[in-house]
Amino acid sequence: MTQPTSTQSDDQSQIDQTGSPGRQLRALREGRKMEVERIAAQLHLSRSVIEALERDQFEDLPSPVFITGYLRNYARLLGADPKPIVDAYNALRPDSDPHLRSATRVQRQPQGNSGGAWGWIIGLLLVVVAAGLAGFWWQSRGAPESEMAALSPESGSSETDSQGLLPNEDGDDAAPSAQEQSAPVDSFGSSVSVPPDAIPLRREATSLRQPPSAPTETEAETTAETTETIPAASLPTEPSPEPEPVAEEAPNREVVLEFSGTSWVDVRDAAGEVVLNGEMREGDRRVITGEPPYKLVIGNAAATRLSVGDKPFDLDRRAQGNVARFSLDPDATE
Amino acid sequence: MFSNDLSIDLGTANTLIYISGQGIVLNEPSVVAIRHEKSGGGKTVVAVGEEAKQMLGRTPQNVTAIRPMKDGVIADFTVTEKMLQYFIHKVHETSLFKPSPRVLVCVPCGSTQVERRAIKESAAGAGAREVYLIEEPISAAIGAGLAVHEPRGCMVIDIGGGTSEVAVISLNGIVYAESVRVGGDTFDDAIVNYVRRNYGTQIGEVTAERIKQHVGSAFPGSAVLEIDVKGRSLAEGVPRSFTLNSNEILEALQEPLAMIVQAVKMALEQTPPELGADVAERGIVLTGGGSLLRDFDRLIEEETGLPVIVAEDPLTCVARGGGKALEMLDAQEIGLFTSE
Repeated sequence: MTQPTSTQSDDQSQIDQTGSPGRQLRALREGRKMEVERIAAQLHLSRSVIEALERDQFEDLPSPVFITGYLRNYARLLGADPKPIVDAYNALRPDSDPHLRSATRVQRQPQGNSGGAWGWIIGLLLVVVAAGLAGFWWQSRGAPESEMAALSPESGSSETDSQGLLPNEDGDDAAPSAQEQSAPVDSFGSSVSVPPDAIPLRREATSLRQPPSAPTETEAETTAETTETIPAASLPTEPSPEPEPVAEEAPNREVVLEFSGTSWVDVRDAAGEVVLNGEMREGDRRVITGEPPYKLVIGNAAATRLSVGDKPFDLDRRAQGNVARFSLDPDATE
Repeated sequence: MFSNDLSIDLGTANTLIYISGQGIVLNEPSVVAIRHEKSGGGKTVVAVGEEAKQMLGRTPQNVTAIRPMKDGVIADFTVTEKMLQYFIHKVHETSLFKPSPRVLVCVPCGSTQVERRAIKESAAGAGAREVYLIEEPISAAIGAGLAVHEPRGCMVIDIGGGTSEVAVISLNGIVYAESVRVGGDTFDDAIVNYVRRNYGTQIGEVTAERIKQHVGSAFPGSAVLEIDVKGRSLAEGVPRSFTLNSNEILEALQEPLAMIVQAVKMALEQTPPELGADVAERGIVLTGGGSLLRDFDRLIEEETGLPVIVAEDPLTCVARGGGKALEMLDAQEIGLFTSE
């Protein structure tokens, strides 16, 4: 806005020297001895308009764009340079549109954009901070529900699960969900809940499962099924002569999950078959059987204790936030 | 601070971009030079704007300099999009990110729905967030400084590169509009044809434009101007030099000029009497690059018997008017814009 002010003062001095546009034009016309009527006829304007122009009575005339045009045409008709006359008029105009005049020059203002660039930088920083916070929140709130929903269709009905469904039933519930992918027998036999005092037998069962021979497997499965149905107290009454030699043969690589709180768990074996899937409750204890290595997803790592052959496995190292996703090969662990 | 709205006058001859608060930030010829890759048949843009215009008619075999706009509308969609992309990027050179401005594009009032849609999609494809269309005469009138919102008729003649628009405007709307496909390009063609017919010599588009700018006139004036021209003699097949004067060019331009005059007369005939009286009282406003043709206003004045004035800086009127229209859009003064 300072620019127009300076030009205005320049123009003012010019006016002082040469007079107002109307006076300049009248002087030119009288110098050429031309009548107002003739001018009016040549410019196709009425006599009153020409007189108003010469008297600088611009308020009687239409908008400035027309006055500028009339002055230019008038000056040209008189053979004068229209520019000083139009400039003199623009300087007189109190409400002259500096915006319009400044826009008549092609201008490039890189500094005009620098403000915008700073705005962009600030905007970018805000976005980065927001994204970081969102990521932190995402990880700290545990397994995202959508992913959990993908693990099992039951995740939506976790409310009903917590209403006193037994762990075994839980395993049964998990089985239908896995039926599309795996044989029901397999998932049945592999996810078994055993009371702590049944460990010796379970150890035998799992070690029996280790050899890939088909008859042993079926035997183990039947054993496992029986284990489920037989009350815990009766289990120790079935001692077996086999466990000791087998246990010596293969070192103890049993993978046990113990829960001190509610947690979602999904365990798959090497073939991708579901070994264990569902919501575990406080006090639950699960033994993982199947073809290692296993792929585990533990929703609440803090409330889960994993041990491989009685040795505790550090879940915290694998957990991101509170969700642990990792694969585990019992034979490879120490 | 974040405002980077653009008003684009996507013309046949020149493309202008106006940013409010900054003025006209780009004024370049609507020309794109394309190289045809020998392997694979791909195309790459070699140059756009002023640089490409220098190449017009002077390109090697694998490069073509083309004008993607013809008669005010898109003739080559892909190239137009590339050109717009380049221009939009150029005016936002210093921005960190890919610009995504609101864009207002001026369209000839005679353009069809298909042509408008092409322009809209082309601007959107070039990175515009929102695209508005405005009819050129309204934009030109606003840019010239006319009070288009008043209940008073004003006539605008916008002579562009490909089209000329004659319109009577009142209360932010078009009362009568006529678009004729005659413009600066037609003048150039007329000069090329005249020279070929009368001198047996072939000249190029660029030379014809130079002749028009230097000695072209629309009305017989007192001074006769001359220009030296070089072209290829059709009989001998070798370049020859000759001199042309303004009277010859006036003669050459008679036909296209008559078409514009005819359109103006038709508009005056069709205008409702009240608005016609307003026009007669105040005069006709000329905008567009074509109005820079010497004595064009005199021609219209003599033909119609009405005062004719040339707007200040007629080349940029449309782009500036579009910019002001965008500001009005922010001020909720709707009704100026056109749908597809």
